[in-house]
Amino acid sequence: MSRHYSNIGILILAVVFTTACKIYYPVQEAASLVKVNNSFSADTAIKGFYKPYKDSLDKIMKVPLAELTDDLTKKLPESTLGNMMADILKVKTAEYTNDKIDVAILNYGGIRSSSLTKGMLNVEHAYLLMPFDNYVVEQTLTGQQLSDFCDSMAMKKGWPVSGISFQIKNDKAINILVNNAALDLNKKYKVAINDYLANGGDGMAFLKSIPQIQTGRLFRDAIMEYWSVQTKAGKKISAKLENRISYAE
Amino acid sequence: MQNRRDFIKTSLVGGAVLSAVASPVELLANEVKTQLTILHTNDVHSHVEPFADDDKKYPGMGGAEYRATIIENIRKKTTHTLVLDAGDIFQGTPYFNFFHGDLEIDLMNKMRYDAATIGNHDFDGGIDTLAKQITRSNFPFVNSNYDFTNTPVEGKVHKHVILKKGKLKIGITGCGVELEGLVPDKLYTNTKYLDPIKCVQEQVDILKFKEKCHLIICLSHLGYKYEHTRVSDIVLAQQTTNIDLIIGGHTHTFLEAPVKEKNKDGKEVLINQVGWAGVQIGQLDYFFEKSFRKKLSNSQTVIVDKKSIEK
Repeated sequence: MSRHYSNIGILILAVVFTTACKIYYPVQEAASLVKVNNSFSADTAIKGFYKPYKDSLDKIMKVPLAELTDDLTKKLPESTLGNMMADILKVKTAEYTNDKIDVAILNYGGIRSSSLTKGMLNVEHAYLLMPFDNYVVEQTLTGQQLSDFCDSMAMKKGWPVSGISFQIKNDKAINILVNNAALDLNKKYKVAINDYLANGGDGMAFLKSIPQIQTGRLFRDAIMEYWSVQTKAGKKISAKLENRISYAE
Repeated sequence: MQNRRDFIKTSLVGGAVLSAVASPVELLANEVKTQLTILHTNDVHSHVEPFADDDKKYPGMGGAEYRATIIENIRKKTTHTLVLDAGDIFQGTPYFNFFHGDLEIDLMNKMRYDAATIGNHDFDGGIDTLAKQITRSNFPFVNSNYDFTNTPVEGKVHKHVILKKGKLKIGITGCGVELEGLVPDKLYTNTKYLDPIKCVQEQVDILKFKEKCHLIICLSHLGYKYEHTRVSDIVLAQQTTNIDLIIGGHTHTFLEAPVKEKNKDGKEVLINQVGWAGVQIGQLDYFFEKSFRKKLSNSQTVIVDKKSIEK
């Protein structure tokens, strides 16, 4: 009888011991993805909380500036949205500096909207495209520096440019044309750019040592000014693909 | 298509059948599995409102008011929930330009986020703004590889945190991307970037061996994968040990399902990333069991359509 009890005791001890030695391990996982949209009911407390912020912003943001004739999209190596942005940078930099600008270059990651839908463009569109407080600057590059810059852009699969074109072959830029003339390694070129890149951003450390002409203007404001001026002149906004950057056969 | 709830149901039934034929010792072991649900976002980039209905890519998608409902619905249905963010909370809409992060942090506080890491764009308002917003948050910011000594952020960021959910101990560390050449230096000032592999491993070792965490998560803003040899979530997974899950950001990668990568010991690490702008929420349900050692996980990926969750 007592032996029977001691057996039970040992069994209980064994159970307690083995249980104590066990720890939690994940044994199964299930993954899912929830698309966030209005098929769910809106949390009215959250919506109500940000409404005063939204209302105060909307007064500024919903002001129409221009009309866009076609949808624009952001793509590599060249895109309609990228071309519009680079063209505006080139035109506005020339205006701000009273210089003849040869080339404008923007970083692809600096365009923060993936598309613009045809129709009215307002202040908010400019903020979504260019939320950063990037300033418009001008730098003078040698032909060799510009050629190296094109190689860097080729490595990054093409950036938005204006006034320059090239093809990408084996991560290098070939057939570089500036204003439709072959790039001259010994010539100097006036380049419109933003201060983020000019200060060495997005891996462009070599630009850091090149002097900058500051315009003191935000690129976002330049975009809005351009749109407004076009509208006042009775023009609409459009952009097209022009083989500025393409892959060599 | 099998939805998430069917899957849970199946696993519970499976457990009951096993128990019926198990010995008393096994019976104790086969208690109902403990479930932990992890919800995660990355690169929300100040997208407070949903995208416009005429947006080409994300029509009507995103929006804090819908994200909050989804998180709350899931919280109501599950015992243990963690809500995590992998960085780049800020920058992208006028809300950040005009209110400098106040709204984004207030909303995350209201949605009761449990932890977040720091993305490169979280420096965009300057280091003072980052410090201020970390102070305003009700949840910890976790990063192991930025040295914030002699910056306003010093002492405000955790190298790791341990979150307890019931009897579960979840260890969380974090890491961020190289700042030089990416973020203007006037914004990050004296912040020093250190090797994420080394820094994360140090924290994971503490979480695993000293703190004996049951699950170890790294919130990463390194980016999912690169063509060249740059450190990424894939590289982090391959070159470390004892990380169970990497929740990533930075590259705005839309993964259909979490990716499995073998770590230095040949064990599986789960990597997930759910795009950007709050258009999706990732959901990972972990089922824990008391055991002597880790078993091979039996994972199942279910793409849940909106209706199966709302009901």
